[in-house]
Amino acid sequence: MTKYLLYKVRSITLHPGTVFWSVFFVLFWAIMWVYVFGTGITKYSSMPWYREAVSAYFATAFSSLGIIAMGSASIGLTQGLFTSIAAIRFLTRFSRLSPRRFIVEDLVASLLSLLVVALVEVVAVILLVWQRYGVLIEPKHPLALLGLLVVLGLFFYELSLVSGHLALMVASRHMRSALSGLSLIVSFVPYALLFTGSGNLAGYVFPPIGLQALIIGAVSGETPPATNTINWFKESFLEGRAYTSIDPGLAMAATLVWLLVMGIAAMELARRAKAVHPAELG
Amino acid sequence: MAKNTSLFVYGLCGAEPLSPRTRPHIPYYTWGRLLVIVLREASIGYRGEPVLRNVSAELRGRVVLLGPNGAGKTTLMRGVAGIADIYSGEVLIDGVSAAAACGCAGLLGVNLPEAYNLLYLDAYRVLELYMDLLGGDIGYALEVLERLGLGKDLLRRRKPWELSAGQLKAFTTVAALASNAGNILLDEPFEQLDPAHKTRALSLIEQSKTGTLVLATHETWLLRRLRSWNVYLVFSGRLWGSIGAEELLGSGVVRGRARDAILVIEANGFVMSLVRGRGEPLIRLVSLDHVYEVLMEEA
Repeated sequence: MTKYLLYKVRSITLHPGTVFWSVFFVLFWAIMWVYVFGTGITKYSSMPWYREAVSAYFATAFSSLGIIAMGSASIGLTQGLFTSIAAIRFLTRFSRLSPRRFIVEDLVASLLSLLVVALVEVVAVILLVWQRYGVLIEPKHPLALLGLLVVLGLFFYELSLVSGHLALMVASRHMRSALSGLSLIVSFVPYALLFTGSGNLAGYVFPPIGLQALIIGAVSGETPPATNTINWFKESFLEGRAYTSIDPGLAMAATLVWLLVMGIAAMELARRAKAVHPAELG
Repeated sequence: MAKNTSLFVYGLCGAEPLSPRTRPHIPYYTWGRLLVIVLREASIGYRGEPVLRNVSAELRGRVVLLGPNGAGKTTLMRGVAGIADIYSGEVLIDGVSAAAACGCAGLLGVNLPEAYNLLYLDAYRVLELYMDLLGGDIGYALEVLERLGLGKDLLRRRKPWELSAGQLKAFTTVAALASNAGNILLDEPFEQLDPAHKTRALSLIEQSKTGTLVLATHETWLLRRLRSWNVYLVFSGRLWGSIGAEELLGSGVVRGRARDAILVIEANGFVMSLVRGRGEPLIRLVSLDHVYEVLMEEA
């Protein structure tokens, strides 16, 4: 291992842009969920399943906010790849940071950084809920939760590589800027679908949506549908009506296909990449 | 693909996957002996467009690349460093192809600022990281940087891009010299340095023990200090030379083809000759950027 791994984690997690947009900005919404949006749940405080209901409801909060935090941090990864491509090309040739070592250390460091920002949101929501409702959210399947967060991190890492390489390919500054923000745009899709129904298909087609449902399932013990999760919570979790949940196996299989396709796309884009004049890199 | 994943993945080492037979290796047996950068009919550029075309040269020992701004000196160095693409021909560093080199620490050091733009770190940590990756001597680097007015405190306070242009140049030059590489490329190492630090930096470069040291500049006054060095002249993406700096010191520039020319250069629509003992003395130009003005006046 070289110092690259440690310094990459430090570089991402201490970058003011990352800290603001993926931690403080998302924390603001965590506070809104706990102290404004979620207060209606207190009317069930006398029910025996109140603790489970609080856990499940706020699992939707930290799963979606965690995804947004990861998406936001991924912008840093995309821009990092873009601005440092000259240094990467030099170092992988003429330093101990061989391509293989670079790939491994960059992946591990990026995953760790994405997990850190996601876990900050998870822990923040848990602490805020405990403070506001006196309920300590205890995930029913903590290992599954961690595993799902890692898979999500992988998804955003690969997405940042693909968008980073696409940004390197285009000469237009505006297009580059739009591509850098791709992961954040993507991370808001599952959030939006918490409130609207478009069936389970979306969860199989687009991994963050399916993974969000699975994360809620890892915490609550029940797997919700891929979309319209808030409605599921009201009608099914609280009132016991029947619902169709997402198939975890199918959702994971779809996610693996996406990871494979994006991994191949990233490698192919990189292989075809042409050198960019450093003045273009900013 | 699976045979050569480390070279193929991310395309970081060469644009095309290489077969195991052509897989480069670090020629340990040549270290300390070969120490030469060879360009053979190399075309180098960006986004598929060559800036240098069919350039051939053998850079060995102490070499100056002397040319006006925009001539292609930096692009040549970027090509050797793997930052710019090599479209045809080859660039070999101690026998290792620059396009296909992989994890060859100790082979090459550069002071190109973009090679140090890796992570969001303060300058001290950047130096620490690069000395770790390049196998350099951080103690030496810090000592020299201190002499050039870049103390440890300042390095800890500032990111590299927060340093002034001169400080950044000094920083990357010292990092390259401290890298312990067998071949070192220094692009305009004195640009925007204040005069006192310029002299110190020059002494530092003269004292370097590295095998091959290539210095790119447009400043002709430097030839007085680098009399024993070989010089390649760079104009419009082409190289002319090599010629001894001592010989260039006594030469002048004249328009057209002179019979007694030691070099005839055709660039940007001009034909000029370097001749001994007459013409506009090269040294008086101070910067080679003025050469076209001289040629225009002569016309």
